[in-house]
Amino acid sequence: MARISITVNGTAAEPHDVPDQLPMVDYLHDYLGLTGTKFGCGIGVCHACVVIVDNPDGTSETRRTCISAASTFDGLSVRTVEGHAPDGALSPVQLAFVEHFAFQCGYCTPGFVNAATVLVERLAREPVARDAVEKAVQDGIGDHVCRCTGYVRYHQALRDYILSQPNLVQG
Amino acid sequence: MRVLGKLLAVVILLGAAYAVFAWTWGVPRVAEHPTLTDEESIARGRYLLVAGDCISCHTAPGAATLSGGFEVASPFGNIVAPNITPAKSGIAGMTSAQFYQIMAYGANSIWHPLYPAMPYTSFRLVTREDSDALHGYLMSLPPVENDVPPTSLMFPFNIRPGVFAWNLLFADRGTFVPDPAKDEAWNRGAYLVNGLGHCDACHTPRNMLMGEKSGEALKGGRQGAMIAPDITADGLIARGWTFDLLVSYFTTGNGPRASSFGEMAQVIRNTTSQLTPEDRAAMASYLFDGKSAPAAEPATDMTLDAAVGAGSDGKSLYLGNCALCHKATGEGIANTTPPLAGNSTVLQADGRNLVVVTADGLAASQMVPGTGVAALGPMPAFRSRLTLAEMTAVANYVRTTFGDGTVPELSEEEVKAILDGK
Repeated sequence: MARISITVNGTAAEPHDVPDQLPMVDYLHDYLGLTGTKFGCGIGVCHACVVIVDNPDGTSETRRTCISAASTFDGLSVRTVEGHAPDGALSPVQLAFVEHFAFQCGYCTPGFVNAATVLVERLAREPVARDAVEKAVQDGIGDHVCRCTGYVRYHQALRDYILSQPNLVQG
Repeated sequence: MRVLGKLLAVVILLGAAYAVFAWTWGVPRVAEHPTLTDEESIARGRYLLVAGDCISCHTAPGAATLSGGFEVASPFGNIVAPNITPAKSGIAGMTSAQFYQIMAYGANSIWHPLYPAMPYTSFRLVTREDSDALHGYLMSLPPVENDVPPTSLMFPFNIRPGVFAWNLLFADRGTFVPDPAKDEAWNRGAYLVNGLGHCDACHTPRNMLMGEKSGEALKGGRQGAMIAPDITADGLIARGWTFDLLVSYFTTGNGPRASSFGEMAQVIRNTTSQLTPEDRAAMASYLFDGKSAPAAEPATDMTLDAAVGAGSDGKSLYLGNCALCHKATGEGIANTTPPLAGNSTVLQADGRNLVVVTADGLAASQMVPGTGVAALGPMPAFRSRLTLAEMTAVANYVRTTFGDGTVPELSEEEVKAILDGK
């Protein structure tokens, strides 16, 4: 057992005693009632279960919650798909996906939203040249699997949004 | 002025002597044979090309097969593999004699010897008959024009004819001589392993000048941050390999002892999986040399409670970071995640490959797909997620729990050196 304290979507969750091997996705579902994070392949391939980890230095990274135990998130600050529209207003990334009709069943969408958000926030800190956007999008969400094959629209949505924002691209 | 003149004379004399040496020793004359064009020879040549894994180095990513351009890294600069299709920018017009000179001596001209990135140090064992078949096959291919950039190494390695001096020091010249005391399979295996297969190119340690250390054949060589492990009979047996497991590994790249990754995954894909079952068995016969393990096989059903000497830190780190895929028992998930219990990489004494893979992860493309599945799950990278102390603790936990009790504990200094690529 491990005692863990994790900050989720800006709120410090009460400490929980959890088995060492409890997958983070199960912790989110069963201890915190946050069911937006989806369990897909369970072996770190499909990326449906990706959440955001916010580092103290202001950077963020994605983590797969099916292959990492909740104990490895102890003390960290995490964002899940529930944290993107706190007041009911969709985030720009979510809006872009909706406007491009990027998803159909939506099972993979939480992972795409989180990974795309990490990319957009990184570009706000470190903009890239316009011709490097395609590669940045591929690197950012290229590992995510969508079984209704919405890939093209996800990629189009993210690319179009990034290119429309002067603070994300150079020149 | 007179001193300068004498100096010049000495230089000219030395140069002339070296030219004579290069001319007479560096590029021995060989007999000309007509280019083979019969179907049987060409088919044999194609098989030999697979056994020699020519494609892996002579094809750049995304380029036409054998059209060259792949860069082989060396401490002295990158060596560009040439186009070996029969094109003007390739080997058009190369005779079977010139081809054999390159295979056996690494040179068909005193001005342009090859660097030993081309494993002529091994290919010297290839018979003239097989060399001619390979030549015939290459000449039968459609020419692909692809001018590859020239190799440019740092001084003094950029002076090509200097390679002959290296050859004198480090390149043996003998041809393959079967050992009459051994059976046919052993001899065929020796021919494949030490000749075309050039297993020594990665698995034999090298000295400062990149020559293979004598007396240490196949005892394990550094490949970048990783090691191509000891594949002598003793080395294989110490890590739990058996003849059957090795043959099956050559076939699938996977098994209870190891899942191939990195360059060996390429070797499995391009070479060993495509050889005949007889040749795979022959290679294993040679490598095991009649020896087998006297002791019981390493346990593959270790339970967590059996962990001896593992710190609780290592255990909880393992459970949190590794066990969801590799399982608490280390058995992994069939066709998805390799087992750690009984895994020969875990049993490597220096811990190098275990630590490098833990730190930097493996993309699915760096592995060979398991039986019946598209790919093994990718291994995530933990370099930025675990501290040095944590990395050391989890590596020691895995080695102690899933090893056979013989692997030594790693210190933080050792793990740091591995992480730094030293």
